[in-house]
Amino acid sequence: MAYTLVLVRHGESVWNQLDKFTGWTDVELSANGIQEAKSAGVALSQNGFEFDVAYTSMLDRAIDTLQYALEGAHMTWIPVIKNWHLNERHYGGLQGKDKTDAVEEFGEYQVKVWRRAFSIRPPLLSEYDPRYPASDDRYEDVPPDKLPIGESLKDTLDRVAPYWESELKPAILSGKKLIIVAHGNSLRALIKFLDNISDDKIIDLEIPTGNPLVYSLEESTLKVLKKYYLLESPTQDKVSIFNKIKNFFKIK
Amino acid sequence: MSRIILVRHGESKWDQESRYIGWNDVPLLSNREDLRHIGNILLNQRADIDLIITSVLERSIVSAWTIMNNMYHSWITEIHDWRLNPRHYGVVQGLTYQETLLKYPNIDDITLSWDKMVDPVGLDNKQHPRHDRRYAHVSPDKLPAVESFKDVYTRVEEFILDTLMPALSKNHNILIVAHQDSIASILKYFKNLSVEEVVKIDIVLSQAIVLDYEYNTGKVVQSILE
Repeated sequence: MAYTLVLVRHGESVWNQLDKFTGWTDVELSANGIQEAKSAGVALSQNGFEFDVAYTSMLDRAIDTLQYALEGAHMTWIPVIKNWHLNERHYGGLQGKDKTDAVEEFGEYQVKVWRRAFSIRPPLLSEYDPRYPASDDRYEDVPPDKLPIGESLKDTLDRVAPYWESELKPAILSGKKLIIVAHGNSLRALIKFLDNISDDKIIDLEIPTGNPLVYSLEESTLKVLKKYYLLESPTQDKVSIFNKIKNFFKIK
Repeated sequence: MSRIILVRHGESKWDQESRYIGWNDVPLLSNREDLRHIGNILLNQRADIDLIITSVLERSIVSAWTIMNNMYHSWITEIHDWRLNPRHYGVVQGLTYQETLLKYPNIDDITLSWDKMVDPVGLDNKQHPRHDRRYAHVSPDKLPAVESFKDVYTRVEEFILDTLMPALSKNHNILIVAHQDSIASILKYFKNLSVEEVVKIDIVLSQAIVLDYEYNTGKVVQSILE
């Protein structure tokens, strides 16, 4: 017996299309993102997946993705846990800025460093900034000093780590089947813990949106036995067409 | 003071066809304007909702999600509790009203009574909740094969005492999206309605009822959402 864990990155949001720094800003899914989420749900149910509990962040685009997926799979009844530890990397003062505007304001090199360096923080928010997380109702139960005001990728990983250890890992080890719908960087954190990926490699890991990443984990050790994306990506498509042609001509 | 907003789920295909749905998980239809409207009202009121509670059936859960999304409050904590399910309609679940009349000419008398019920489904019948994963954690002797209104009230009262009251004691505002008989049971509890009164309550699909409740005195004021 092995445990199954499914990770899903939220579908495309309206700001992905606008190329803005999103972070903790609450942005809705685009029509395409909604479709991605529904398709993910249908694919999960068609492939016989079952879940006991769903985890997601406190941000609209992840929660909506989860809801559309569960509705598509007709599994809406499972418990849903929303937690800020699974939020996207907090982009501080860059949040809401257009990526081209940011380059104009701070220079191309600096913006590249913020996006690509492992432990460099973006400009931090002051407590008077309307984007300051402790002013947001949804985080009223979180001690303000725990809430980020601008994170490096390292900060995000360090924030996800205790939640993985204290909540997600024990849930998996108790035999529960989890679906986790989160964000590019909070999922990078989970994948880093599961696959033991080094700090410098994790930044290059790209996770496609709306494509369930299925893990098969060895009981008790949670060692990764198998890992695959449920839906075929465009590159996988080419490979599978090639395989079909190969099989057709019986090429060995 | 806390506020309980009670909403009956939106329309499903079987509602349109006048079928007894009971514990069947029939999806919500895609026209959800009435629910979006409730979300918009709550958004305009800047309603400060602390907790959302639904049954474990898709039509109530997706109704709640639709309301929350329209008020940009998807992040509110949510609980799905089987005790808010509708009445289990035993062997007539899935039948239309006309089909049911052939089996039970007195069906109206049964549905409008406090303790009468139709015949139960057998243990091996797929309509028995023990075959459904979502009830796996519920003790088997609590899972119904059919229910009277009284049975619904009994489980709803248990839910009120162990789940709703602790939240109300903290002055929390709560959105409950559920079903005709489970909502009527909540009204009976808080308004101290008689058995004769509660069976007559008719709540239409997507209807919202507001109860303002003072925990210390037990005082309740009912109003409509506007």
